[in-house]
Amino acid sequence: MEDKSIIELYFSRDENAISESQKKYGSFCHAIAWNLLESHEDSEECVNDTMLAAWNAIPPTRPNSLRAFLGGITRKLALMVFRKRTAKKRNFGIMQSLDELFEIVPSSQNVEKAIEMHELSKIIDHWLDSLAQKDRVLFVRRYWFGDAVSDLANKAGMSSNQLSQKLFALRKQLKTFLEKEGVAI
Amino acid sequence: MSNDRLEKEDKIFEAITGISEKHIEEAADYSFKEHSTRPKIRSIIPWHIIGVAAAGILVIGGTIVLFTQINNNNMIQSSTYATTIPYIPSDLPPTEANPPTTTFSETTTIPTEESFASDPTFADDVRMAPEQECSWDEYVPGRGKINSCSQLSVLLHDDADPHMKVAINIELVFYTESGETISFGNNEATIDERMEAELKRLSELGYDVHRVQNVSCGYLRSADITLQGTLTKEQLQDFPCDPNCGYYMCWIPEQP
Repeated sequence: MEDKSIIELYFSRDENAISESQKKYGSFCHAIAWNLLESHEDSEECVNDTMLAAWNAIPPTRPNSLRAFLGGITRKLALMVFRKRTAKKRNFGIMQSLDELFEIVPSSQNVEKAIEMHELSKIIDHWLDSLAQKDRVLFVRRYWFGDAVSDLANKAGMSSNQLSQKLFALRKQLKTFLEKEGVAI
Repeated sequence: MSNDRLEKEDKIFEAITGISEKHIEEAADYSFKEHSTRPKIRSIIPWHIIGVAAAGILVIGGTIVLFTQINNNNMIQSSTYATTIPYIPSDLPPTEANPPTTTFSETTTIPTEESFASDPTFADDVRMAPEQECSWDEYVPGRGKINSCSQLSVLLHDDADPHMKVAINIELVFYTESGETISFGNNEATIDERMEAELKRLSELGYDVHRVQNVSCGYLRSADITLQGTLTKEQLQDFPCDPNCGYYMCWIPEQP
């Protein structure tokens, strides 16, 4: 079923909206949750909660991309589950990719004005637009989808070393860009 | 973990989550295979036939070159430039099963820059000038072995001053006694202990190394298992590998 039709089901409060979303994007959301939680049970729960959250959010929200909308909810829910579950095991999945990004954004204590998160998202968007398509996809797959370096390298036909170097260069580039924009959080 | 760090992490997470849907859609739909030029070439060229023919030519050519070199008594020992250094504890007496400790310089003939230029057995990346970007062989170093970047190998050529100091990055791969690698995720404590032990061992042997959080050579697997230091050519050539460790060694160029 087309996304437009599924969204219409939400707007008409037809519960098939949930089953159709699950059918079409359930595995997509599961993969995102899995990259953070590495547990099928928790990932499954996250996907179910995502569908419920979407049911509550649409309407009034009318997402342009249902896939990105559901994926975004899953990311946030998965982080909440992760935070609840453990504060110790951090070195895998999305948390590892988050660690990689941590140093590129200066803390607000170090600069005069902190920035709102949606503004930072826009600035990152702007920077992403300036990249070659493959680089942009690699960055988003690693830091939004949380793909493991080895998996992503495999898909991209690169070695893990080459991909790590590429991501390192991209982070450095983003850091320079953010510094130029005077960004801090 | 401090609340400040958690808060900052959450914000970065939120900012990344909030990037434009078009970028997420693009990444979700992107096919690396479709954007690769390889399939098109594959479809028109019979690679399997070319592969078999090339292998045959290489075998015959290699055999001829080998015999020629033996005849000229001019055999170059190193066919690969990722240097392998076996670890033999120095306090054990040499026996047949436990031969004397061999070193980088004893096991490997390091060609001069002139021989790089003329030697067909070295891959192009080995001939790179030191100011170029590092390149790596892709394999994970085995127990007691070193995978060094090509530039480090170039720096350590025969004519180099033995007291020359080189800034290097050493990334460690830890192995259990049964030969399995220890990975992050559920072995942080083990890795941390092993890291500290290795740091202590190398320091006691007079190696000027320290633990770092951020590697600067552009090669990153995990920042927490990396050492950096400034070592002489001699120290590098005699590097005392631990038998339950593998080492990636990378030269750190001077920052402009």
